[in-house]
Amino acid sequence: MNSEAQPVESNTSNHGLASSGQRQYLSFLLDDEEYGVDILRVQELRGWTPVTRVPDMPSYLRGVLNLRGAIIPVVDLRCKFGLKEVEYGPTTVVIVVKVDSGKTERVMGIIVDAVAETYTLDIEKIQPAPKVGSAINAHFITGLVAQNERMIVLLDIDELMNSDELAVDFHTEDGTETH
Amino acid sequence: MSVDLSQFVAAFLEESYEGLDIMESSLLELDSTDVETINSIFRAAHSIKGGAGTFGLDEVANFTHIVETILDALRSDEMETSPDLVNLLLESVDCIRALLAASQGGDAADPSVIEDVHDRLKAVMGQNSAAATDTAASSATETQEKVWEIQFIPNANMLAQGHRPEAMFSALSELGVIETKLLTSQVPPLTNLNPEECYLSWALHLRSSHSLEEIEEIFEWVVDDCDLSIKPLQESVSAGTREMAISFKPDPELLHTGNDPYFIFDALGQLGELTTTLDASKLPKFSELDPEKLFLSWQLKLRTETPDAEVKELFEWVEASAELEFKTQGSEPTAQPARAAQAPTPTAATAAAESASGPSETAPKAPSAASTTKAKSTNTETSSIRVETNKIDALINRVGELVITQAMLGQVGAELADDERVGALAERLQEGLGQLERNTRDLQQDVMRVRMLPISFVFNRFPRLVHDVSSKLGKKVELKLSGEQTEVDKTVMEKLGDPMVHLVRNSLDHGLEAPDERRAQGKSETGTLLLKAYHQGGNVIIEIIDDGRGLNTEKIRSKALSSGLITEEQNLSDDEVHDLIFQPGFSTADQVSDLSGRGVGMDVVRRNIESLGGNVSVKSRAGVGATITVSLPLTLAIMDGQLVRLGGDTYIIPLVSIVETIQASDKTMSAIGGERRLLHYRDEYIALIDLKTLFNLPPVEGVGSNLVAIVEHSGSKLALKVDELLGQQQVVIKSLEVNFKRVEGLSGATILGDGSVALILDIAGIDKRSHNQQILADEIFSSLSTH
Repeated sequence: MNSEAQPVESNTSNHGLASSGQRQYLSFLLDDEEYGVDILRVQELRGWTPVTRVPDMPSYLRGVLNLRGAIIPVVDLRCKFGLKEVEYGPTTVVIVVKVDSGKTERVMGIIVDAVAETYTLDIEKIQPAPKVGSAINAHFITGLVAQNERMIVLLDIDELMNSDELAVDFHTEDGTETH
Repeated sequence: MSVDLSQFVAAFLEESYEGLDIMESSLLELDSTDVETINSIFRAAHSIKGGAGTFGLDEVANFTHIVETILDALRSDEMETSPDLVNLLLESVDCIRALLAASQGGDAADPSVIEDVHDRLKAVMGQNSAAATDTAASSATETQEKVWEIQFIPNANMLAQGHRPEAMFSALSELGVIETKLLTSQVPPLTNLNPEECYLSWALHLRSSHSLEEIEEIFEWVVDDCDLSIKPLQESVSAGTREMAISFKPDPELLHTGNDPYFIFDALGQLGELTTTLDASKLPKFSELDPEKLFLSWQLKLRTETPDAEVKELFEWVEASAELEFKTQGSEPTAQPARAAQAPTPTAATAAAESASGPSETAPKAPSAASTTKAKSTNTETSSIRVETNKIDALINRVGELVITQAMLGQVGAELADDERVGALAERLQEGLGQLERNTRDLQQDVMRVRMLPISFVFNRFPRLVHDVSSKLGKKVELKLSGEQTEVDKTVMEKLGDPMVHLVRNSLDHGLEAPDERRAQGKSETGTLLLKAYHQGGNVIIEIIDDGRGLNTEKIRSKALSSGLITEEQNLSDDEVHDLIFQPGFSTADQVSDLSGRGVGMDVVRRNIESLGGNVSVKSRAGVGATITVSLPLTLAIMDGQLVRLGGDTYIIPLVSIVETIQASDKTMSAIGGERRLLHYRDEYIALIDLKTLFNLPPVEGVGSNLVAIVEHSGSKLALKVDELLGQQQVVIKSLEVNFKRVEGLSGATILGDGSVALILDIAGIDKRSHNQQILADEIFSSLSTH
């Protein structure tokens, strides 16, 4: 049922057209706001399935789920961005993204209300984010872009998914000294 | 012509490291009369030098060249082996290893060490060169013309390796007059012929005054890619012409083994005059004839000069599936010594090296050579392939998925069976699912076994270690290994190495006594250290047994008293006292030696072994010796788990750490200052941990249960409060760290039958976590009360 992964609808011909000055984004909705992530970072989309809670984690870290044998953490973006929480419904989607975490690449999920569109954007049309106080740290934002008279907030997946509790700790496994 | 060599470098390195291992192990068992061992060391050094030269690793090549020169002197008896020389060669093995590592961007080799060893090697060579001139002079007089018989059977891939036989023959012709005979028996039918492979072989006669070494030099680059034998012709001629009667009764299944009698006859025909008589009496009626079976047998008569051994060699591949009988008619008066020398080493070029030193000498040596070749072949017979471990891990993951899918299907099947509407169909489904379950379990076990390696991979480093350490300590030690073929998971193996080294060093350093002390106690001067491995249940047990002085119970007790580990009143048994050596910060060594007693002691060993899910214990008898027993799980990828419910979530406690699960009564649970509570359990008070509080899980309504799981780690017990015990099952351990991070108190996660994730508890982490939380709570409490 909903555990089946839906392939990302990146139409490849469009992708092929994306010239050096352009980049493709997948956009999604959170409380009627539209956000975009670099489509090359998106591995797949999944319907919402219950996750396993991990002790002692902030509330935006919903838990871990089984992605074909790999255990991946899942983040509720509404919660992370301080938006009002809603019940998960049939359109609730987990976007599985690849995150560059320095030495390793990690696979993680983000819970969003729904997936919207894929856009091919001119890089020069992307405006820097204004420094306004909000729950969304300015580091997480690559820029803003207007599309079809809507503002889309483009997110920096690496900044977002390596922040706070998700940071990779570089401590050694158990501090075992070698003799 | 430029070829990108980089792709071969990895293979070269791997081979070189293997070669170094061979050199090391052979050097350790080296004794001067053992030509075969010296040869194998020489060959390993030789191919490292050659490879290093090809890949432009001049430093390695030059260094190895010196080692090779010394080894060459050893094998040609120009130099005597001595313990000092063996040590020096062992050191140079280390140097080559360091140089190789450095060439691949590893830590730079310490130039002063390299230079030191280099100079000492040079010095050894210098001593020898004086002696060498004598032998050179004497060997010069021997240079009369001889006829050499050269059998050259290249491997199929020789051409692909860039070797050209005709170039070698023209080089040979410069040494003397050659006669070549081309053997084409191995050429397949044209349809099967691969033009890139070489199917030809040659028999050459070379009339030359040059020495064996000079002839061998021409084949230097191909020795590894061919079967080569070079020997003076006279010896084989002396075998004399005679008639051999061979009775060959093959098994009906012979054709299935891929052998064809006609190839054998063809080859026999080339050795001499062959007459065959076919016996078709066993042939069944045509209607019953199975075309895939062989019903024929043959009586062969061969007139040949070839020694028996070579004739028999042709039947080598069919020996197991045929009745064979050889009868030699006619005499072969002078052949005895020559055949003895040739029989044990039919293919290797080393046969030539032996026979070169004269038949009178080779005869007595032959038996020892035969036994070594035999011992080797049993080692190399297990054919294997190299596979990257991540491919195996991917396979294991895939099978893990399959197990989960199968479990899911099993659940659906069970539900269906309860549904009356489906009826008989459901039964058949159940049956099929049952079969699927068995097959997946078997598959999983088989795949797990792929990751298993014999423990000899760990044991193999100890002969060297014991050699080095005991000579440094001035002790005489005999190392015995047993159960080297016991298989362990590769990951376990990798993590086992360091603790084992520590334990062995400890036994050498503290356990075994110096020779005079041993003599004084009426023991033999040489101490014994036995490393023993075997399987027991789902565990592999490794014992390190020494016959030394044993643990000093009194000293341990007083040390433990002074450091406050135990109190005067505690009445501990000897075993309990001995167990104290695994406590942190415990070292009784009178003086800190170079080898052990650097403050990192047995506690680290215990911690490392427990982190692998195993345990370690010691048994000792004063004056008789000590046995350290390490018990480890066969694999880290799977473990037996107890599923427990905490609130709405399922967690897994490793079954190995559970002592028992009990229903505690309120009376036995006592609160002491604040949150931390104690459980009165069998005469001791142990910390009682409410996992839900510890993990900050939301409280659930309803009556809490008093179910408690008593768990043990590092010798101390904990009581974990859980809501429900769910069942036990084997779980595949998955890392949380790969895509997430380490969480204190959890050792990983697994996927349950329904596809959901369950977290695995880490007892040591929980203990640590509860301590930290307690400290935090105390701080908050005290800061509240002071303000």
